[in-house]
Amino acid sequence: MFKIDPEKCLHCGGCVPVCPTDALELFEAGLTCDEERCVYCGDCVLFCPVKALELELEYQV
Amino acid sequence: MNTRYEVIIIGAGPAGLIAGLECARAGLKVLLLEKDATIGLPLNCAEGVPRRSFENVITPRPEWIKSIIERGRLVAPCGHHFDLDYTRAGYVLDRPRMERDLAVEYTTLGGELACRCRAEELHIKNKRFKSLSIVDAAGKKRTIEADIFIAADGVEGTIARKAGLDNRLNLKETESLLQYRLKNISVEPDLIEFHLGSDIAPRSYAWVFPHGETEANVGLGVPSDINSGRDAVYYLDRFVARRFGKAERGHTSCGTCPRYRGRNILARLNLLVVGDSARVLDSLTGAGIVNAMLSGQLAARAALKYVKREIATLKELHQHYPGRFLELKHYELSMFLKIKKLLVKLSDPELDDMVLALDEHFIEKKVDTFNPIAIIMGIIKKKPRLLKMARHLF
Repeated sequence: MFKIDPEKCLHCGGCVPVCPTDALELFEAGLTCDEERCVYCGDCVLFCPVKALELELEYQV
Repeated sequence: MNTRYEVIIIGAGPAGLIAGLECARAGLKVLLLEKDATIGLPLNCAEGVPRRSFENVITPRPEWIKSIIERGRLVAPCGHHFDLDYTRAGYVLDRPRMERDLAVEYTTLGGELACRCRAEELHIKNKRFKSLSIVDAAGKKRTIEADIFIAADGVEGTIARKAGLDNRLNLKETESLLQYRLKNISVEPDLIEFHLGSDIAPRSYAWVFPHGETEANVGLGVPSDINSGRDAVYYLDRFVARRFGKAERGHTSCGTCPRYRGRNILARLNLLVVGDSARVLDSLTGAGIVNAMLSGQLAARAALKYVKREIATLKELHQHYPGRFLELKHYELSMFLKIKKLLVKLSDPELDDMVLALDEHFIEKKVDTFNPIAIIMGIIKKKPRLLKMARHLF
């Protein structure tokens, strides 16, 4: 699961070109992630200077 | 909104606004699209500009200027610092104010501005970009045609990427920048500070830009892949506590400074890319406003010639933009990038050495021009220990 905290996100847009699969897009209303494209690499999470992004990996046994 | 314009500009930041002004002044039928509701916001910027190059692009109004910078201070990891006097070196701007004023001027001159409009994709026909699909403020999809398009959509650079220009950022070469506007603090309103050191801002630096008499933009960068739990928030909170003690915090900014990438991502067919989306920032200091405005201005001048059929081929168009811009800026931007790549490799003792060398280099502690490239050359000659720096520069 990819989570965006809209309270924390300052709409800087820096994560958008960091994404290797162009899954992120910044709209007036906020950032969106196309989970069809997202490969859960976590680059955007590492980049975000205000920790607005989170990846929750679910493991199934 | 019409279905056809001569020029469409995507993004109403400094680059897009200057491009728009240039087009509107020349009487072109121009549309400026902005995804946000307000011009000038959100603000993610330290707002500093070097005076001369800024005033070559535009005559600033007094209301735009929060501080006139006349001194710079470089602080080494060991704590040694030196100050350099440089009369009217630069300004710290009230960027939202400037951008709102520019937008008003643009519309007064007859330019059309559409806020809350999202540009989606450019469409090609007969080897030219012919139209742009957008979602307007009412949520309605539209297609608008133009002779030429200018992408000024900021660090995201989505339009250029969708048009086939690879302006992606590699995380390994990316810095995460964070800044607080501190309030009710005591600052020297004409002094900007740069603090170096792995303990302060590893492989980057911290800055203090006065914003009037009692406020400052205080920020720093850290490598985005630092991965140690010590992120930008950790370092900035610590720097602020050490430098200012308890301070009231206003607006928070964040972002990144994409590295300069040269010619390849500045144009494709009749799409000209400007500003942060063209990655034309000074990689050393992160300064982007003036180059954004200059690239916007030069792209608009090229667009004007193209629309008026003074130039017919794409080759000629690209000689005007990015050609003209690169003639003015390529050498400088490339050198800044090389110096940046070098600085991130220096250890704290080497940074101490460098600051001491600079201190010796500026005997008078006073300059009236500032050429970082000449300065670096000067200190390399004096400090043989720093000679290894030169290897990386040429």
